[in-house]
Amino acid sequence: MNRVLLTFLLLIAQTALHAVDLAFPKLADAKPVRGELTSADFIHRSGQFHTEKGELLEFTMPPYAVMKYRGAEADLREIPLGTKMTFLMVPDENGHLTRLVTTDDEQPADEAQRQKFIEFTKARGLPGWIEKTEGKQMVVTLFSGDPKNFQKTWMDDFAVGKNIKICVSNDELRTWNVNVDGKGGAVREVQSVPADGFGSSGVRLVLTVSDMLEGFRKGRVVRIYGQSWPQKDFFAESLMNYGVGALLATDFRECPPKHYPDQFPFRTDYGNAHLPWYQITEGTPPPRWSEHLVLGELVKVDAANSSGQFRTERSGELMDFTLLASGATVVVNEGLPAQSIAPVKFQPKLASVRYQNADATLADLPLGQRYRFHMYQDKSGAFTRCSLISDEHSHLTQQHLTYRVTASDPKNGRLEVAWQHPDITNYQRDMESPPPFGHSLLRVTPETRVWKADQPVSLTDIKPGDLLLVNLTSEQKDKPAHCTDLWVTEAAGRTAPKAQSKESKGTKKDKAVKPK
Amino acid sequence: MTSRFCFHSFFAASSLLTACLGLVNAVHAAESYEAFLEKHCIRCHGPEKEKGDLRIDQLSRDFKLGADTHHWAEMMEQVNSGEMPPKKEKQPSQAEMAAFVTNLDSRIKEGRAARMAARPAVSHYRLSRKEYQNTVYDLLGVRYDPAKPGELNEDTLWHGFERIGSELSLSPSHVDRYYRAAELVLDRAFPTTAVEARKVRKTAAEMRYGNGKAQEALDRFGIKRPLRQLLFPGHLQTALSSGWFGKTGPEHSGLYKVRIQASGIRPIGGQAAHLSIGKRTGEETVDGLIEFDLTAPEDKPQVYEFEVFLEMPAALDFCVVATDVVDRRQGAAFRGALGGGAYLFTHSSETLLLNPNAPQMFDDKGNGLFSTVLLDWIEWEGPLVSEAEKSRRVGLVPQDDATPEVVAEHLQRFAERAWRRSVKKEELEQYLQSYRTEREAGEKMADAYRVALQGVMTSRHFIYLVEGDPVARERLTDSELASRLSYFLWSSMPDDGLSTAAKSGTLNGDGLKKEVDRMLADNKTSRFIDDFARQWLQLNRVGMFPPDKKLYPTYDAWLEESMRFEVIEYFRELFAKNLSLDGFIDSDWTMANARLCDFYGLQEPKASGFQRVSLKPEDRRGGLLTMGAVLGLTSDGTRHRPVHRGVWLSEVVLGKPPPPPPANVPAIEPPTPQSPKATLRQKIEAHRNDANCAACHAKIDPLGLAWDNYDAIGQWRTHEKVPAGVGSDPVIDPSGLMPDGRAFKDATEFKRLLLEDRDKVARAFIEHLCTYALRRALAFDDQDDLKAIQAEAKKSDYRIKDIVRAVTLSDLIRKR
Repeated sequence: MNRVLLTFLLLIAQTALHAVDLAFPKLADAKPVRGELTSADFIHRSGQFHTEKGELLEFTMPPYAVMKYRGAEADLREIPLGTKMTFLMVPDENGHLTRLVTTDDEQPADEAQRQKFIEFTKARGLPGWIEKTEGKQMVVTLFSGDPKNFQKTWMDDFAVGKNIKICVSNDELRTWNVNVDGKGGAVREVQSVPADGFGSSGVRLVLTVSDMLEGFRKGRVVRIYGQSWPQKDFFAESLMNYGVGALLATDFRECPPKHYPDQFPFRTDYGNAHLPWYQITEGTPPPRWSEHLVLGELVKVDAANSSGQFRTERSGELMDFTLLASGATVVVNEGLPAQSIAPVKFQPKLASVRYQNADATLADLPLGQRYRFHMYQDKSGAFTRCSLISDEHSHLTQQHLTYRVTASDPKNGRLEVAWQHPDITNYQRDMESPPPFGHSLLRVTPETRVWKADQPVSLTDIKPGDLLLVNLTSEQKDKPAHCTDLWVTEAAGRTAPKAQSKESKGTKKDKAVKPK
Repeated sequence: MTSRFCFHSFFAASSLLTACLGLVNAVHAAESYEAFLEKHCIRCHGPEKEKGDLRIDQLSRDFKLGADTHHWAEMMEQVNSGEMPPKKEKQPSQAEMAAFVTNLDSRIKEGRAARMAARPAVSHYRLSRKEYQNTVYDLLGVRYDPAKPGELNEDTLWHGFERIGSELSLSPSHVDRYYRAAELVLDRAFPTTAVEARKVRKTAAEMRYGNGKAQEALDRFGIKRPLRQLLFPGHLQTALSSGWFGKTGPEHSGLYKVRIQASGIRPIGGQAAHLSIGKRTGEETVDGLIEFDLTAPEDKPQVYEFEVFLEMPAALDFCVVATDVVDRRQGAAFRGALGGGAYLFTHSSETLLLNPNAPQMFDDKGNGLFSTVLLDWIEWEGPLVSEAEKSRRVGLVPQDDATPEVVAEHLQRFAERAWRRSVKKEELEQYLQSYRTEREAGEKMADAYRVALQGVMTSRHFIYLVEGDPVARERLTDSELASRLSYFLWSSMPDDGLSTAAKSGTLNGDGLKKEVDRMLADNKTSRFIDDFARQWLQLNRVGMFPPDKKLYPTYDAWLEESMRFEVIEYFRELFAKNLSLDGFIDSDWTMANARLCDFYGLQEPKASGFQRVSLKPEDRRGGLLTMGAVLGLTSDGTRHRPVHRGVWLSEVVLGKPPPPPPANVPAIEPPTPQSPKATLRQKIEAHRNDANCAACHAKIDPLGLAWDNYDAIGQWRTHEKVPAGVGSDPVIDPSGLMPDGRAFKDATEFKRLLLEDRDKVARAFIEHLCTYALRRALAFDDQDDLKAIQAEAKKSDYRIKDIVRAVTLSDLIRKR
């Protein structure tokens, strides 16, 4: 490949990977949007909020971004669902207003919240990005949403000569394995820089480390721990694919197309915007990560022709789809006796339809519900070819998640749920219940069906602590998504890790419970 | 840290007798020890008193017989250590003591040498392991490694020599090993199934990245660079898996050709990448079957080719040897991440394909941070059997329908080659009987005949060099001479030409000269070069005490191996070019590879492997004595040992081993934090105030102290690094006086003085060569012959090959 072109591609990839060019956005440039927090994914630092106009907006947080709650810095998980505040948004590389820089709830600074965040940060490390490396020395600008108090709060631990530990992190501030791959180091110099733009602490550390990691490069994000800080591995934040990290479902593991886009020869939902989408080769299963995920409400199906139509979530476009040629087709060579097995040819299964975590056909899918569609381009470039249709129930199950009810208010049509992962056997071989991965505000209506042990029950039977699986309608303008069905499930929590991994490989088939 | 360094004078005035590996000088002084005994000992240990039940006057003075050697040794020890005469008695002077000890020691050594050199009417000299290996190869074209665990026992060393007959005994367990060895060798010579050479090639993508699937992904992305396998220090990766060839058994053992395309990354200020391929011996180590430095740059990989003998099935690993390793102690995951599936290496500039939590291997400018190898592919081919090897087995086994007479003739022909002499049919009767028994039991010709072959190969006539007849004779027969010559120059059996010459009686006069010249021109002399240089210079001691990693961080296995190679390659060059013996002492060149050039601070050579590089005075090298191996082999792993260096030098270079130190000499105290920093020399000098030690040490220490500018691994220095104490590190003082009083101020001047003594150096070298060739210690009786050899060698100005030729053509070599 042409060297110049390659460099260019790598540059693009670099930008895609870090989504930062080592400049902090000016708060004055951010667009303030009033809204109510309705969903948060703690692991990926993303979420959703409803604007006052009722529009659902999705957001992700750049590495330097930090929420403010009760006038103080707060981690995403510290902010209750339904909190109304101003979301300060900046556009992403496509010009869409999806990057959340911070929030403002117009409260006076609350010292208890401030202390809570300090405690959290000590467990998780103070983030920053690398401005420069030379030998085993690097210059790191630390992030903060509160530069005024930064010196006072943190700089005793980062004075010249202090020992520190430093970990590579991705731009979601997730590390690989803090206790194992963190590197010891020491502060050599502390520099003050103008806290230009939101996110900068105004402090730059010159550090030396015992060993350089691949990720210690200019532009990369790191997390730094003071010497006596309780470094903690947050389950599901670790990007290692072994140990308890191996118990995680795909969505919570390291995302290769995001972190190593160069390994992918096509555009993905996570990167490589400069490349074309993967083109289907007839008869060949498309590679992993090649799909374009679209959420939408099923409008109609033509089961005979394996096709149908759905309305895309939020944007409301009608899209036609056709499933890729599917199923195990047996082709027998006519010239040979029927009992001969040699000429039998199996065509791989290229498309699947999942409903309530079981294989289904298009005809099995209730219309009016929201599904996840894995789409591919047809010859004209339109995304009409589909390799997977999956309902929310199946998706949740596949992600090893259930919704644990934290607050139930059926009268007002509100149900607050935490994203609950099954208990795990930790490194001490004790069963441990992982903290929630996120939380959401679900809408229920009198039409919402509720199922418990195959029997219909009432919405009012749902109590905090219940574990739910759900199916929903799609979010449309002036018509927010609501639950069509709720299943009160067994405590998925006691699943042994082995069974979980089996399940994730699809060897275990849950029995579908169909609404009647 | 303990060091005993009390040695006693051996350069005592005039013609004091000193033993060289058991050899004594011609003229004995008046038995000075008798006068000492009379004056200081007999009064209490004689006819009047018999203290300790010891009557010295009645001890045997026949040292050759050695009946009372233990008493004499004890007496020497008592005087040497100052225990005797008792304190209340009149004390001998220092000079008296030194003379007594030296004189007695030389008599004891002389006696021991004479006993070792004594030959019965028929003497047996067992083949060393190396000789056995070479012999079966030359006899049958079979490769066999007797040094492999479970094979032949290690040879006993005597002053570094592996082939001294009186040292090489044979225990019952050893006999069993020879039987197994013969069986294995015959299995390989006559395999039951035909074995074809096979070839397998593995690319980096196949070996490291799941059969190339990752490469497909990159190809589609348009990255045309192929995936390369990153081999890094501190971690082993597969170089040959037994499954690669498909079904593989012992029958596939043999010579393999391996080709490797790779580049080497040298970090700034670090070492050139060195790759070692061999069987895993530890978590981070292999026994290096193949060792080489890679200097080909990243974008210009080179194909490296080697031939290696493999015992199959074999599993081999790559091991990058470097001082700075990607340390497991930094966390298993730290290093493990380099081996992870997501870590796709194509080029140092493409870091986005690499795990962020893996160790960084290249900095932002593309400079390597560790010595690494970037591997493209490896190819194995074998077992390869040359026509020459095959030809050695042609016609060995009789036809299936052969008559008993024909079978007997076949066996006789084989036995004559194997036993290196004419063989009478009746000598083979027992083996033929075994053959017949097998045949009668229904075995096929080939199987039955193998039993007879095995008999021949386990006979003492094969395993030993047998010289002499029941009726004693002084000179060798021609066939015995042929064997002696060929084991001297080729470390193996005579070839057909030499055997024929022996049989036809032409191994004398011009016929002998012709044969010797032919032998010296043969490639097989490289075995002499390897074996003799290793044994003479005692290279087995290199790395015996592994240098402390903290004190000598640049020392590693490959440097050690390279140091050993340097000596051998240097000797090879001197021999091949027939250069003067002065080259042992000083030169303006050496033989070095990239690693050594690095170590000596010389410019990195362009080509890989060993090559002649020139030296300038400021390089402070030249000759054997400033080579890393020689300087290091006397060290104890933490510091240099001047006394041991002196002993080595006097023994190996001057042929004069000093008397042993007395027992229980207190060690030099390790430095304490409160004391001022002092060089080892200063401490030794303080130690030497002990009168018992001073006389001898004054003679021996300067020989070692002259090299004080070189530390325990042979690095040049001007100050001695002292770990504890007050003040700065002291300056080295390498000056001193030769035993004869000539002064030198440093190693360079010392070398100059040594060159003035070239006759002594030549004499010592000739004695070592003769010990090696005759497989025995030299004795007083050999003096005249040695003188004659020296005179002959001097005619050609002591050129190395000419010296070897003079030894080969000497009268001594023809004597039993």
